[in-house]
Amino acid sequence: MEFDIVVENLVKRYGPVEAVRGISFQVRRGEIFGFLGPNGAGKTTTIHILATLLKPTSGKALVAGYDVVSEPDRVRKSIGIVFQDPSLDDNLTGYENLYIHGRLYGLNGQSLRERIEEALKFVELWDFRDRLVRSYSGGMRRRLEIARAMLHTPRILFLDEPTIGLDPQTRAHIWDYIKRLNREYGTTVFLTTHYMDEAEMLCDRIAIIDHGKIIAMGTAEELKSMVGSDVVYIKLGKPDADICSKLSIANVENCKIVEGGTVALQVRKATEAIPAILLHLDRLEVKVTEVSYRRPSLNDVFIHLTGREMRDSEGSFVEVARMMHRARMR
Amino acid sequence: MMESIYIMVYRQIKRFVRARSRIAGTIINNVLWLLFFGLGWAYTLRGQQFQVLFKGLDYLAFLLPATFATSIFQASFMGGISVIWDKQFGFLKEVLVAPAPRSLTILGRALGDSVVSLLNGLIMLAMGFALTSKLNPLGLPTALAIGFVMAVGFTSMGIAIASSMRSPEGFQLIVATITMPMTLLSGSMFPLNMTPQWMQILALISPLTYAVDLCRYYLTGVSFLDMVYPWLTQEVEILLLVTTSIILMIIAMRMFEKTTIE
Repeated sequence: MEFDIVVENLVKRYGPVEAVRGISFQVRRGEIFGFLGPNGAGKTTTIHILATLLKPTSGKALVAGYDVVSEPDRVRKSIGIVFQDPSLDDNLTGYENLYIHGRLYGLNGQSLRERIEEALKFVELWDFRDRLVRSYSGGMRRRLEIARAMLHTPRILFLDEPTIGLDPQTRAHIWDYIKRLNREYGTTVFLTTHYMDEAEMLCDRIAIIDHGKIIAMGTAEELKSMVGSDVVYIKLGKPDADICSKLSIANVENCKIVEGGTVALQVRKATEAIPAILLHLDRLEVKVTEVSYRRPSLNDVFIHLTGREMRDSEGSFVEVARMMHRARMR
Repeated sequence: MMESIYIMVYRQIKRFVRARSRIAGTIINNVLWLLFFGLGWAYTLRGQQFQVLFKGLDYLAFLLPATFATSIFQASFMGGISVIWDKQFGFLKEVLVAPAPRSLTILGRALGDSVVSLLNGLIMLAMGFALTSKLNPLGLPTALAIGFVMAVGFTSMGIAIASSMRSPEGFQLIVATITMPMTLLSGSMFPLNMTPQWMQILALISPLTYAVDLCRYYLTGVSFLDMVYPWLTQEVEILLLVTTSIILMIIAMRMFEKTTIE
């Protein structure tokens, strides 16, 4: 297994305050890895250390195989970064911003022009290339920053809260770009977010971070299975008091009649259990009119681990998924 | 290596060209200064007796080459504020995270801003050539070279101060407290050889004084320092100016290396 980011026992202290308190993790080559946590959890500090902008107090961090403290130049060459706060030159055009970036990263001539065109077209800003960034909307700026970060085809892309403050439709677009970058260019992505939906939508693996510590790590599925099982709701054609005895099959961990003809089944993985349950009921000739299931969310995971709720203010998962679908159809 | 220097020069000049209001502001400022201050004193000091005071120059010819130097000085020094703007608007992070060496990007930036302040000075000088016939066009290339050297020095000074500051207000305060006495002491508005000794000594500490004297010498043929201090030849002045500029540049590079984004 090849790792693009290896972090061991990283600590960052500001005076008496410990922003990052000994975190360790690895990011595989080509994966999208996310830091999920509330504001002030140490996400941005970590990204700044990995991007060589801050020196760690102790611990070790390798990015693209290079040590962030002793080989910052090599790290800088291998990464692209989109900061949480804007970092564009407002008084220049979109094209000029990319041009300066390209030259700072050692590109020039025809190949730079081609890269700029490709990057601007990738984020659909080619038509706006000669406009001053000052006149760009928030979403356009973010897209331009993504284009800039990918311009020098970095091996690893860092995104600090990539969709903070953006409207749902723009967020969906940004997600799409990030996924395509990862797929089409094989770019390893490390992102931070405090949106559960974003982490779930984008990340192959997620580390939940709180108060400078990683409190859980894994795929969204793995994390959710920490809090327990899925619940499948089945509405029957007509009420059946004996239904639970009929449903004692391997997949069902627990069975409860909720009300009327609806039965709640606790299963390990709803997506796998439902077909088996339906097949079983079909054989018993029990008529089913409706099936639904609820699974624990990442929010449930966070509550389970910390006893607090992580605020998720913008756009639910379903809503944005719908938007994204619509955007793609257009 | 030249790459990183070039691209920052490109950026600074591009930004200047974009900022039309800034250019207009500079020109208006210069015109007002020359008109109300320069002409006012030129008429007041018109008589024969003053010719001696200014060693055969009229006041405008005395003032203009010096104003060329002081306007470059003020513009250069003020240029440091853009480092703070870049901190506030975030562009600095983009430069800091780039693989290009920081010392070279800041050098490029200083050179770019120097070209910009030199343009400021040129506008001033162009008006000077229109107002008086006493300026020697043959001295122009040397004066420009001196202007550039001092621009690099003072831009670096501005950058060095700005690198350790957070707010533009604080920077402006420092700039104001430094530029005013330096401009007044530089001998740009009155002949330094007439001033009391302690004032001359203070003046000689400031590199701007040499720049003013040099520009005046190459554009009019008259120096007001070498008669009081015979050891202070043009060559020595140039040496002092170049040395200070280089030192200031190295300080700026060091300070910028240490800049963080916190």
